[in-house]
This record gives sequence, structure tokens and C-alpha cells, in this order.
Amino acid sequence: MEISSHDNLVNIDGNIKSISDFQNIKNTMDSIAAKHKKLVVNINDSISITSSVIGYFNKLILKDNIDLELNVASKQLIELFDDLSLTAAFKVRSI
Amino acid sequence: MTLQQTKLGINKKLKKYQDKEEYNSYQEELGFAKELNILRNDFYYKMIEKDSSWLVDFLYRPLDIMSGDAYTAREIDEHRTFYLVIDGMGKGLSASLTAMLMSAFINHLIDKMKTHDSFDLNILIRESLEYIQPILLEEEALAIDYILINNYFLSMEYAKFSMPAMLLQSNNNDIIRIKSNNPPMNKYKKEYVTSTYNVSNISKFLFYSDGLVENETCINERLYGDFIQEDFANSFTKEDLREKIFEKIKAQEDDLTLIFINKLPSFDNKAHKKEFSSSLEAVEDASEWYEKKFENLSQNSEARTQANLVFTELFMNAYEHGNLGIDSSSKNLLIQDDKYIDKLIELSLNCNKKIFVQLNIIEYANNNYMVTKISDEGEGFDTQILSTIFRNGQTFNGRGVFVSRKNSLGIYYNSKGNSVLYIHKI
Repeated sequence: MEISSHDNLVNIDGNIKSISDFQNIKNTMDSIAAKHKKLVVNINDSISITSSVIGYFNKLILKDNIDLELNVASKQLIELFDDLSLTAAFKVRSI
Repeated sequence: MTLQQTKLGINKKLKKYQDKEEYNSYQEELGFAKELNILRNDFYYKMIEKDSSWLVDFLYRPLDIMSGDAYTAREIDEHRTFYLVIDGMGKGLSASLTAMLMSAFINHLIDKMKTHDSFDLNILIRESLEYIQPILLEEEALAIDYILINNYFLSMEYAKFSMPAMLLQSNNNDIIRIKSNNPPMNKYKKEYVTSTYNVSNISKFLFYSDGLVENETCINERLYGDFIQEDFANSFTKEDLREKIFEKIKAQEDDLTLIFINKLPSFDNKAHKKEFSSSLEAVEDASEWYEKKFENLSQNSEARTQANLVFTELFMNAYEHGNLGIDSSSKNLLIQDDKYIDKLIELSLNCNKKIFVQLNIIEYANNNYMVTKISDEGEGFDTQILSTIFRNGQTFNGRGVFVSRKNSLGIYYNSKGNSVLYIHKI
């Protein structure tokens, strides 16, 4: 997985799978959240997501009051967010 | 430092590592034993007998010794059964602690509610949420299924917190996916919703954690989630589904937990039925009758051998433990004193109780299954004792049931423990 960012926009390429993927996402997004109250994340390839990333997104929204938007390319991942009742909370949109 | 001293030093270090490894593995064993005590399963080797027989089966395969998954299945009262599947965030000790704490707390609450005849799903969810929130870490998410099935009102009430969609199969073989109605439990959010689904037309249920659907398969690196619906639809028993899962997945990547419930079609007019008296001769006659019946119904020699073995074990149990009322410790003493057969003959003389055998063939997804039911007129037994027996392989008691389980697709006792049913693919 590779992650890059510009202002409050985060791009995630490849599959989100491992603990190190979670750490990369957290480190990148923590530093952006320190400056911005709104974060937009493009998940360009991943077909799944780990529970640790879900937990982290939850914390950003519910504790840190970050306005989070997820733009997701994979239909499979969009379905997963829907199955897990996370579409509304994470403002999931298809790209 | 001399060579001798270096060698001594290395040996000392090796011994230290070895001791530490042994200590860790001992602690893990204890931890897992405790984990199994925390998981509660009121349907261990049991079926739910209402208008139809419902078979409740489980698959629980932690990735590490300490699992981040937990499950529970409880009989609330005559009509209601409760199922819980928990998937702690990530893997390892933290996930395991959360899953086990939650599981233990919920089971404690259920015990209290059952004692006071006051089970309430909403109170259970609210109390357990309040309990776990201070324990959860800031970024921790807890996926959990609370499912209550009411056989009287034919309804299923549930609160799914970011668990994968449960699968239900209708009598017309349609597969229904029921998605989560709540985001995962976390430290912050106290609100949740429950939903109700009419299950009058449902013949199979599958509840599972995400470890199953997110596991990579050998088929073009696709995830098992792509196959689960079809495999579930074509599986008559949990064993069928288990085989299909492990044929496809490359290597287990996460904790795997599933609860598989299926309704067994009733024994119809075509079922083969026979009753036997309680005597040693009848044991012989019954085995011969069963062997012939099976021979006429199936050419599958492996299934035939296995089925005959299971029949002999379970029919003997119905005779000696059921109708004659000989308990395991008395049996062991009688065998030691070489008085066992004499005792059986003596007790048989005054025993008018019967043993009933039924055989039924069920066709399912292009396969045939033979369902055998053996019922006695004895006092029955609590199948929970089997869990203790099976965890301790040293014990002599319950070996017949253990062998029967190994040689069938599953064995299931009624709630009284005086009727047992087992299945073979023929």
C-alpha cells in the first residue's frame, strides 16, 4: 500500500491489509488532522479494509470531530462499508 | 574466554530460552483453556426440538492461541435462543481481552436474567455497551452480533455492529443477506438500533466473523467473501461448509468463527422405523438390521463402515446408559470386576423399555444424506458433560460419543439427552 497527501486530501493506492498499512494511514492522517478539520480520503484500489483503520476513522469522527469523507473506487469495498453500516458515518462515495 | 566457557554460556542461554518458551506455551495453554470456559454454548451436541429439529453447529478456529473472536449460544427459555459473535479489533492479546471480557460480561448478565426470568435484549445490549466503553481504547472498534431467535413468534431480533452480513436461506432456497444495522461499538457512541426479521420461511442461518470472508483463496487471489453465499447455499451441514471453506482458502489469515443453524426436514412416511427391546440379543439384531438397511440405501462403502460404527456405539449407549440406567463409573467398576455382561443380562430381564430407530434419506444440493435417530426411554443426560470429557482426552468416559462424532457429519442429542441423531453423506 502507498499513501500520499496534499493539503487535506489523502490518496491510498494498493490494498489496505497489514498493521504497517494502518500505521502509515494513521501517521499521515494525524498530521493532516492537526491542521485541518475536514479530511478527504481517496481509496483508489483497496478491496477491503482492516478493523484497526475502521477504529481509527471512528475516533477521528467521534472524538476529534473531524469531517471525514471517503471516496472509494472498489465496488467490493463500497459494499463492505454498506454491510458494516459505515456508509453514512464515513460519508462513503463511489469514484 | 576459553572455548569451554563459551560453550557453557551458549548452553545456559539456550536453556533460558527453552524455559521461557515452555513457560509461554504453558501460559498460552492455560489462557486458551480459560477462553473455552468463557465461551458458552448451551447447544453443545444438542439440537433444538420444536415442531422441527434445528441443528446448531459451530466453527471456532483462533489464529493465535488467544483469539480476538468469541461466540456464545444460549438457550433463554422454551422459545428463545440467543447468539453472540464478537470480533475484537486486530489480532492478538488486546483484541482477545476485549472479546473475552465482553463475552464473559454478557454471559453473566444472561445468567442473571435467566435466574429472574427477565431476559431483555435491549437491556443486554445497553448494559454491555456501557460496560465495555470505558475499557475500549480510543481507536478501538468492536464488531459484534447480538441475535435473538424466537421460535414461537418466528422472529429474529438483532443488533449487528459492523459484522459481515448474516446469511439466511429460505424454504425456496433463496439466500437473504442481512447487513449490519449499527457501526462498530466504540468509546464514544451510546446509541444503537435493533431490527426484527420474520424467520417463518427460513431453514438455514449463518452468523460469522469477518476473518472468514476476508481470507484470500487459491482462486485468482479472490477473497472467500466471493464464494460464501454459494457454499452456504450448497451446504447441508456445517461440516459440508467447513470442507468447502478449507478447500478454497490458502492459509488461515485471521480468527475464524461461524455459527451454522439448519432445520432438519421431518422424518416422513418413507422413513424406515423399527423398535428394539433392551437386551444383548437386540443389540446384535439392531446392528444387523441397520447394516442391511444401509447396504440397500447406499453403495458408499466408507460411509457404510462409518455409519455402522456410529450406530453400534450409540445404540449400545441407548441400551446400557439409557434404558438400563448404568452410569459410566458403575460400568467401569463392573468391567474391572468382570461382571459387566452378567449385569447387563440381569438388568435386561426386568427392563420393558424400548429403543426406537429411524432412518431418513434427505436429498440436498445433489447429494444424499442419511439421518439416523436412536431414542431410548431412559432418564437422559446433560450433554454439557461432553465438553469436559472431550477436552480431556485421557478420560475413558464418553469415548463412544467422541468416536461417533469423528465418524459422522455431526451428532445431536435432544434436550433430555435420551434421543440422538447423526448424519452421513451417502
